[in-house]
Amino acid sequence: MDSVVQIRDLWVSIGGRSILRGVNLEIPRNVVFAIMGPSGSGKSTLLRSLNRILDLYEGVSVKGQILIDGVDVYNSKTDPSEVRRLVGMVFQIPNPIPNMSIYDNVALGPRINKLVRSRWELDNLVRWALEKAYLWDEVKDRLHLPASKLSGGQQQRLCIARALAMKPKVLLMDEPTSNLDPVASAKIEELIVELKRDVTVVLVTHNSFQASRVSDYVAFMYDGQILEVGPTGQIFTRPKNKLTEKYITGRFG
Amino acid sequence: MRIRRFLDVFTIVSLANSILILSVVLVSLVLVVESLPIIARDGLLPLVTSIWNPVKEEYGFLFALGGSLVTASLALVFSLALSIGSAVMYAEFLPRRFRVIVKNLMDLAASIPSVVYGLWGLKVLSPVLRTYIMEPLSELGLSQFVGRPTPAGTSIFTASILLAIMVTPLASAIIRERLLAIPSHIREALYSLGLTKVEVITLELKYIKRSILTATAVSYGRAVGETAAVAMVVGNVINLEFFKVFKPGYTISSLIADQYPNAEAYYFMKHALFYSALVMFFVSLAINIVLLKFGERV
Repeated sequence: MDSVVQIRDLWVSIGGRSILRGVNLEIPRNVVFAIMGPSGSGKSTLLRSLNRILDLYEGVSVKGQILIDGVDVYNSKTDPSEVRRLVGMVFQIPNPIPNMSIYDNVALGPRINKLVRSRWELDNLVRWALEKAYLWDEVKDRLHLPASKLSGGQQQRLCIARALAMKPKVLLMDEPTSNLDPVASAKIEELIVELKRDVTVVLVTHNSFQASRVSDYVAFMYDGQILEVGPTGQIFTRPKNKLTEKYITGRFG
Repeated sequence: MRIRRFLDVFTIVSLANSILILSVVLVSLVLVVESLPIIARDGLLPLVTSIWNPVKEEYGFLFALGGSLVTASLALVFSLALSIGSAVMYAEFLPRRFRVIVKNLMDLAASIPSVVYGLWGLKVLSPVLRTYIMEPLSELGLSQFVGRPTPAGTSIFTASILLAIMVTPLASAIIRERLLAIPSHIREALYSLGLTKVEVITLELKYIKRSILTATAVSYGRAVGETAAVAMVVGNVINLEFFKVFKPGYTISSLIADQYPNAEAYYFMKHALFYSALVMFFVSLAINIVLLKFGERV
């Protein structure tokens, strides 16, 4: 199996508290891979270890190995910025840069990382990313308005476009619909399914229905470890672990 | 009962406000009234001449006006560099456990009386700047542009460095608090796009440019008005070439502090000093308005 992400015996502690305890995981290319689990199970930390955004917090120590598209993420010679160009991220709170225009939000990454050589190329890239994020038709006439003028769902799709404009290999999504209304959430879910043609999506969600709707594979986390992992259909119909079964049937805790 | 209490608070607040507004009006009024005799005699002449000859009752304070503007502007440049640097250091690099002590030290620095800064400036800063900066630079052939320092090292340059050090804690606090107020999810968004720390900080500073401008306006006001410390290190010499910053000079504030004790001995001197204060008042007002207008546009 061609894995784009390989995690080997990953241990993470923050401020001396052990959060991830020996995680092993392989994520295949061009799939939607959901990570489920109750709050505090470490799923968000696992996601944040993949693009080294964990480095921003104090007192984090990471042991183990992560390979993403052949890049050894935690090798001392690896530049975290290089990892983050390979791995895009969409957050729980839609976080466009509020005073920047819609266009500039999408253009920010390619511009600073010098991915384009001309204005024309940049225009095309921005359009491509906004179309991929199902946002182009809604914003094409007001690309130069501040991003803060958009609705919550539109802002989240703008953030997806912003991440896509970097042409990442992997797209991390940290509960991307938890702050949106049902209609906006449905649109994002529809989008996630489409996205796997271009990138591998790693989706953290505490909503097991969402995981069953959009994902191809599911990993179930509990207390810093992965209890069960497999194709979504199999996990939801024939879970091997008692806790997984309890969680997906909503009888947890 | 509730309405009564509301009225009481309202009365106190509006009284406080009225006192504040009234005092601004009164200050301006006194400045104008006291300046009238010399305005009637010389018009705008004192603003464009550099003569200070009380015996002949000739007063032109261009040298002090220029000294004030040059000192404050230089101080502003140095203090912006210092305050942005220290705020970024604090918000982006300093480990959390050192924050409390550094913040307290900065606040302490802001509360030191200016005369203490003046003494330190005279005793330590002036000779150090003379030996290590002013003399080497003027030896290098810059003396035709910046002049030669005096043995004491008091100069317009010294005053502006001292001012920069004095106004930095407040300016830095304004920038620091604004940097810390940037939501962490915005910072994470920037890093997640593969931006380096330098690139993120540059964008953050652009994002808070309005606060940086506010800090600039506040610093300028304080630098232009500061008296005690400046009067001690600026040299208090009538320097027609106030742009040669390594030479000693006057600022309006130091001129008033230095000359006012003699003013009663002459007829027009007091009025000339009031006039210089009035001019400085308007110049500062104009600069603040420009900065604030500019702040609205960015």
